[in-house]
Amino acid sequence: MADARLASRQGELIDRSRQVSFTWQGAEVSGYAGDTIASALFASGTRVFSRSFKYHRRRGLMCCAGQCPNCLVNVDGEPTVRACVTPIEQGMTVNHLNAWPSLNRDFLHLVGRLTPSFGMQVGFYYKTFIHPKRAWPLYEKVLRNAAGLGKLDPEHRRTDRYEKVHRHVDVLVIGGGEAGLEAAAEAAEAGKHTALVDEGLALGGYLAWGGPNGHARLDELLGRLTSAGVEILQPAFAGGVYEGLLVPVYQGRTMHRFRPAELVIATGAIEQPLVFGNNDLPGVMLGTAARRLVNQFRVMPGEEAVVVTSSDEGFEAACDLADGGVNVIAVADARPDADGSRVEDAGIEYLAGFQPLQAKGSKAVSGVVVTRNGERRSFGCDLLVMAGGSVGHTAFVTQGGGTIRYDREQRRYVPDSLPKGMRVVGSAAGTAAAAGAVPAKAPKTSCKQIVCFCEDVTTKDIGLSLDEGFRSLELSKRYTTVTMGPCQGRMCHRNSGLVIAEELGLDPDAQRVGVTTARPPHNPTSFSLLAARGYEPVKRTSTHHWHAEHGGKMLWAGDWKRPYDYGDAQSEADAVHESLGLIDVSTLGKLIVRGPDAAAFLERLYPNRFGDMKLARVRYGIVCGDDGSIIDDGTVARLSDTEYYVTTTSSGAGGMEQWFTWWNAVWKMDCEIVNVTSTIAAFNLAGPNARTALQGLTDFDLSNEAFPYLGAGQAQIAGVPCLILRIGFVGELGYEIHLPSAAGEHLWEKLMEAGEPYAVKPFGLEPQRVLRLEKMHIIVGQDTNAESNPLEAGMPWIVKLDKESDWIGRYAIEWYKNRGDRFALVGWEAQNGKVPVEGTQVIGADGGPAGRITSSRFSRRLGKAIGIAWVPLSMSEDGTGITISDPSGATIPATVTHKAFYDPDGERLRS
Amino acid sequence: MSSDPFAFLSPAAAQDVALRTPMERNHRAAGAELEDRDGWRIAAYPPNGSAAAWLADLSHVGKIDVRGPGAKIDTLTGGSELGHASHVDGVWTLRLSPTHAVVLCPFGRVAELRERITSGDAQLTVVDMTCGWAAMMIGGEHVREVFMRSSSLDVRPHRFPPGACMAGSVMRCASIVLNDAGRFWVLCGWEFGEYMWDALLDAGVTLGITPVSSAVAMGTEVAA
Repeated sequence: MADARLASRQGELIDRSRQVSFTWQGAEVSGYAGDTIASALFASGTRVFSRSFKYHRRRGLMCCAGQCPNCLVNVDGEPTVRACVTPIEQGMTVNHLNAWPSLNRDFLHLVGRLTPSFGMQVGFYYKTFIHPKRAWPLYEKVLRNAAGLGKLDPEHRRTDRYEKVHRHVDVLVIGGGEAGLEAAAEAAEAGKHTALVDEGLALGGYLAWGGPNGHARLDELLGRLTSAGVEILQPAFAGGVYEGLLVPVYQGRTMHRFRPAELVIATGAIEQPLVFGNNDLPGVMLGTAARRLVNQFRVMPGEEAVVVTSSDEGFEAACDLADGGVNVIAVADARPDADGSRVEDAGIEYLAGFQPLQAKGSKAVSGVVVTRNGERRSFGCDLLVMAGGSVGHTAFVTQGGGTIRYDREQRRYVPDSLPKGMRVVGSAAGTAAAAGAVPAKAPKTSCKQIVCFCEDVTTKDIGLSLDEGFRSLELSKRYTTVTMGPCQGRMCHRNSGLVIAEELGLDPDAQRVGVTTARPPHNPTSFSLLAARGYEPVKRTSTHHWHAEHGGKMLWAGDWKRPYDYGDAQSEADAVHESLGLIDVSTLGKLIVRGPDAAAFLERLYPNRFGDMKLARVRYGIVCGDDGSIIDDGTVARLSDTEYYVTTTSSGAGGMEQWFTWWNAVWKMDCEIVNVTSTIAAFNLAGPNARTALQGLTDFDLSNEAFPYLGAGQAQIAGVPCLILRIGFVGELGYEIHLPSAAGEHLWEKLMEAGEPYAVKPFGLEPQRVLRLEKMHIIVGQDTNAESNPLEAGMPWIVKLDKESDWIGRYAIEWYKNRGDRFALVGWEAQNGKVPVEGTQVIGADGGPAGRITSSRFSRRLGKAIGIAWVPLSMSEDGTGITISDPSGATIPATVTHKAFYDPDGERLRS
Repeated sequence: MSSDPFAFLSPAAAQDVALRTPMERNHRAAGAELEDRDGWRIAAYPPNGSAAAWLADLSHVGKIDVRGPGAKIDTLTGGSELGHASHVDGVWTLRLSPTHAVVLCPFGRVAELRERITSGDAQLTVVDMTCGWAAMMIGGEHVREVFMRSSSLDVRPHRFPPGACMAGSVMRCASIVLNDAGRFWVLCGWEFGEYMWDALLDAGVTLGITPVSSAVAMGTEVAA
């Protein structure tokens, strides 16, 4: 039914030879290729496109340029699609938003009828729904169902693919109007890699929609763009300008993340609506919108029109409409002294000094009343065109770090200072014709005068906000939400400022009410586009798949995937105690420290000594921050006089590399730090049979005499070059084997084979946690926090205050020592066998919280619930009884202990 | 202790060991055959004509990390400027910073080159990072399009010509990138290898990316 069109003319966007069908609210509609959803629907007779946000008032096309919220629709399940800039596609399904049960019969419009008797003014819900408090969940449910612009269907499974592409260009131009095209052509002709973004269906801005006069100039510019090789993204829109001139550009299902060397803002100017009664009725339309319909889509916007204006743009609209066959009855110009001869020459009645009072009609415009100094004139019409002057589109300027200033001559904001790399051209820079004085609002009328079309904010709402003390635009914005809707103020920023100025008795041209910030996203943007393809880097050890294929329950451990257990954590722990277990500890951080100053460097970084270490030995160490707090721990092996191999916690690997590198740069020491975490796989073979099992794979003498506890040695194991560290985090005889990652799976399998006679079991993180707890070995970050120092953490032995060199944290730890301990990290065992929740509190004598449980587990080996806790010094003596709270409300009695729960003398470790 | 304190970092010293790249299971799942070559299990994909974009696993290539005084690195790199790499006798030397270079070489030459570089000057720290970085190569007509879906690094031809190298984020992983005659090497942490492989293939799926054998990627059989 695409037959309500004007005759074909040069410059129209539609291809009349190609019909495209889609559905609108279940009914099939046809348009032409090149139509937008809005133009096709309008041509087919649709006048109501949406319901307003709060009052559910009928809304029709207003801007036809993607600025206002009036034509937001749901397309194929995606809400808030702008119908006026979205091309039709064969088979697309378009539905309305925000109406129930239908667009034409929307019960929620009764909300608007309740105003003002039921107190539905701005802020009503703040005041209305605070009592009774317990009813809030009900209120919230109702409000949430009623509010918002469209709903996402949680059952709708999207299969579309969204892309994110990183783009670098020399010049990016936002805006394809005359100025933007000129800027892009100039840049490209100068040899710069240039891209141009425009959200319309046709380039050229007013050259394209302003009638035939601009076509020659447009053709010339388009020819230059083509010759110069400008990349054109269209229809596409810039979502905002971020730090460093990062500009996301959304085109279809692709987000281009542009980082241009130069950003040219050529966003032009935006025609503003006028504020008068019922100014949102369907049939009330901006002049530029009417001209777009006529000139680009060849659709008659109405039969009989009245133009209300405060600028010469109203004259242009009137003439274009008359040229298109619309009966333009009158032009009412708010300016008393403008020259209206142009419209009079066209046979149109010109009313100087008249401003609109209100539009008439209930479901659509049927007429208008204009007024001048109490004099009123009424006209019947089905199209009311408003031309309230244009404001420069400067949102991207301020988002990018520039500033704007009010230009009294032009009566609009213009760019003032610009960030490096940004340039503003055309109307956005303030080169458009000056606007006339604009009436802030109509004289008193009983009809709603909409200021913010997105949020249904009226002049009355703004007045109320001022009465209640929000006496600036910024404060009124927060109270009324004016300028906070999808248009981000493009349709209401100027008018809200004018209304506030008038209410406060300020000079509107001085604009002393200030400006608000238009924030990204510039247009409604789907989460699918923002997210696009997700990147979730995952670290896998070289034996990851072996674990998964052998029952390992893989879980996130920091950035890594690690096996929690292989089905039976307790049995795995038992295997380590009784015979043999194997765990993948490849996630440990691993650093090489090499150079003549390597020993001195470590002496400065750690509280304990490393300069006196013998070759082929390993030593446990903690790393402290400047404040003396424990920030990491691990082992240090001396491989030669000048070469050390350092391990860190798994989560601390990156941080420790940075820490080491930072201090190396500060101290300018002669050593290098190389992070070999990725290079090296590491396994811990532990249990009474570890030596026997491992010895079968290597010629290296593993006897206790040749390779005692805390030894380090290099050997071939099953053909793989390895570094063996004899250490034991899990409390049994153990060998931590470090080897090239590429051989990881090979050696793991060999170790499992070698352990078969001993019923070896792989063990995961959970059994490891139980085993280390039995030995009271701490986990940094779990048993310590940012306030934990080594003295209170029970490791005074590791702090060497008598070291010759200064070291990180020394000053603070000396201070702690002089102050004396206040808390202590202690072990405890529950007297009733119950395991308290980690993080729960230790109860003090006064019944209040006195400490906290950092680790807790039940040890089947010991038959006890055990753990670690921070307690006040007064509760830290060995054997002290403490009380632990439990979420159930009960308490758990426990006894403090200082010695490891298992093998306290380390005989098994050293065996 | 061994005379080479870092011998345990070098897979080259392994004997009768099947060295695996991080992407081995991906290759098997994609139907590639695994061929034994100088200790490595290397994926061999069936030929599939000329792909608009392709991805190859080159993790078995030797990689050596060299750090030291700027003058020494100058000598090693032949005075290459930052962000440039030299290619001599099948060996790439990438100048990443004034004091940091990376050497890419056939796996069989790692020990020799390490020895040669180390013996030249004890001030240089020379570490075998063959297993430190998973290595991939992207190529084909759409190589840049695939890369632009993976990283914000600027790889326009005039900014990243053949022989250029840089360190930066690819798929949110710290990486090293080298333009090898229009083919891009991407080196990332060994532990990220499988993720990176999947992510790059996904980035190029609409561009027709396909995995290929390392020999195809290099244009000839690579001497390991």
